[in-house]
Amino acid sequence: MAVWKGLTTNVLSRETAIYENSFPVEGGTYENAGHVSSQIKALLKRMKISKEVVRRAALVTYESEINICSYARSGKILLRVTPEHVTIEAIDEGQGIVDIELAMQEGYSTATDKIREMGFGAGMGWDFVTSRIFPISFVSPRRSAKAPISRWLLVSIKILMAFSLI
Amino acid sequence: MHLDDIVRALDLRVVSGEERLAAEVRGGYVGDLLSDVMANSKEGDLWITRQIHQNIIAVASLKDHAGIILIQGCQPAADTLDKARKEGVPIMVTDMPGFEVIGRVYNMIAGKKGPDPSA
Ligand SMILES: Nc1ncnc2c1ncn2[C@@H]1O[C@H](COP(=O)(O)OP(=O)(O)OP(=O)(O)O)[C@@H](O)[C@H]1O
Ligand SMILES: [Mg+2]
Repeated sequence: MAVWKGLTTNVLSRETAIYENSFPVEGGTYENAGHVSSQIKALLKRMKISKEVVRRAALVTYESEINICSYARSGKILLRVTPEHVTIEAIDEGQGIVDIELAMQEGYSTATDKIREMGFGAGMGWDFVTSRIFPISFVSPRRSAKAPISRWLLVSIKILMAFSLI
Repeated sequence: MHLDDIVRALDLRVVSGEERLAAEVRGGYVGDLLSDVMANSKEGDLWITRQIHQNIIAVASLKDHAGIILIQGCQPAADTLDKARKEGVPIMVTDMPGFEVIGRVYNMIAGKKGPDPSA
């Protein structure tokens, strides 16, 4: 459910959500891959959020979405916008990531040949996300405490609205 | 540099996004790995690749690329073409090998920007 609380009031606390929504992602197929990323990018653009923040959000969302398509049964992307941050979380149901440090390493991939044929599976997705987006607050993949065993919180990334470019 | 200048100079066949040929090309990016292109290409880039499946359209549109050139006779898959037309992403195809396409596009863009600083 989309919740609009209006951009105009100046009594908003800095962490009050201006927008919050959850976008389902189908796993095991690339048929709609990128669709959620496009939706989120269009939404953020409409909110007049700066280009650089939109670019970062699109990159994070895309990599999360493709990983759900590649490695999970199903999942969702949560988007939360506050006056200070754009927060993106990816949650999925699937095998999860057993060795997180290994998975985050550049070049590590368990992609099948079929995935590689399409130009995915170089094991660079997370590495690019963490190296190209700075500063971010980053929660690496972990199992969600409240969720059933098969459900994983893969990533939670906060992008600052205001930052200086490196 | 506009997309139609490059289309004419290289004699590319335009198979989608004809309505966006007046777009400005600001630079180029070459790659077949989608995460790489997603992370490192820029808005207004002309993307040169041999990937033909439909995922290239999401990347080109998310990154606001000026268009996609498919090299060496690669033809877009049917669903790629559908998506490209729906989203207005220009796809251009050529029989030329990548090396030649990249060199010629580079010269056109760099030539327009002034003398090569490395020369
Ligand atoms: N949602 C997920 N569920 C289970 N495992 C995952 C998930 N996302 C990533 N992984 C594991 O982490 C590895 C590294 O992911 P990463 O996105 O960095 O690279 P990749 O998807 O293999 O390739 P690329 O992103 O370059 O196309 C994957 O190969 C996979 O083993
Ligand atoms: Mg990936």
